[in-house]
Amino acid sequence: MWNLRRWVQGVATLVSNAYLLFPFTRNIYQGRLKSMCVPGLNCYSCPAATGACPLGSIQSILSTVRPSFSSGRYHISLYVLGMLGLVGSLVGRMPCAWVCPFGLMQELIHKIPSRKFEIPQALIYVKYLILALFIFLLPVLVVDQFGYGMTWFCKYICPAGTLEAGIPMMFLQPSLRELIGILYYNKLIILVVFLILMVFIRRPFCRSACPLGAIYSLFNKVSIFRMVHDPDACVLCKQCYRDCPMGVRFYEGANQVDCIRCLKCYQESCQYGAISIEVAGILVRPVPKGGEKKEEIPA
Amino acid sequence: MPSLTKVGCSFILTGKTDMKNTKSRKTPFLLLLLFLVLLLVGINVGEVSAVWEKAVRICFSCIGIG
Repeated sequence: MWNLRRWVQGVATLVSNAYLLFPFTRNIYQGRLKSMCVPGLNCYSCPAATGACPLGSIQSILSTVRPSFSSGRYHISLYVLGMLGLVGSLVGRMPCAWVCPFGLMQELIHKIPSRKFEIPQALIYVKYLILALFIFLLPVLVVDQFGYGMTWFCKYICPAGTLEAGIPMMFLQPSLRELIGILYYNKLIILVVFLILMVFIRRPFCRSACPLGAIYSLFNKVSIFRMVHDPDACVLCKQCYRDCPMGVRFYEGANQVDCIRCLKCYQESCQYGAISIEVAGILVRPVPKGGEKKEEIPA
Repeated sequence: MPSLTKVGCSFILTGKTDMKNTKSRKTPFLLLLLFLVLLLVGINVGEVSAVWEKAVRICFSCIGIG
């Protein structure tokens, strides 16, 4: 299952970035596929991107909500929010584990041998603040004299945009280099900080700052696909926590906000059948590999 | 109990659902319906082309220069 997930992540990354003509056109893809949002965090200004970034799309539509209302076009991101809600209602935060290119990169960088650390638990709530402020409120509320707002998250935070678009576009279109200023260096510093953190901390961006993960996480407890914890079978060995790419303490409860449904705990970590999945009310349990009695494992 | 063989792993399909659980599981289907309606409304008011128009232009904010 773990290898399958790597394959799916790799294929999803390639499909999200399948426009391989960019070295010749020196521009981004402009075909009709760009009207569809990808489920993961993938900048639509990445030269190879074939789809739209859902976060960028929400912000850019909300940042023009006043002028569009004035012109009789009632665009408030229902299309993108509907798509995210559909995915979230089906599988919760699963796209983070299976199809997000930025998530894959974080996991690969974390494989670099080093001492590993845990992030303070309070930081997992920062992503909701970023979601509320930078994705929804600021683009609508802070506007210029013509009523146009900004894409605040893209402009000031998004390290995926810097990595996938900011750096490559400087090589593809050298004229853009003349526009580099403090904003660019600010985003570059954020990217470098997260890249360093990725070595030492499991998925630091997903856990602390990703607004897309924050949106999907709201569906974790109510999605059709969800995880189930059996406290009677759990021996509190904490192997699920040690193996979890998000550092989720599954033994404290299933479907926590940071559970990305990678299924490693379900498939590999738990030897006692304490972790199951439920799809539309049907419980699917793994075969216990180790045993079933709490007394067999020291606390 | 029937067993499923999927991606090289075997599962036990228990089919176990208690009544309380089944009742609470209406929520995801209602949410699914709600967001499907939102998606369709968004498509109907022309947001697909709005997304496309934004996505085919180089986003200077994303790059960090605008």
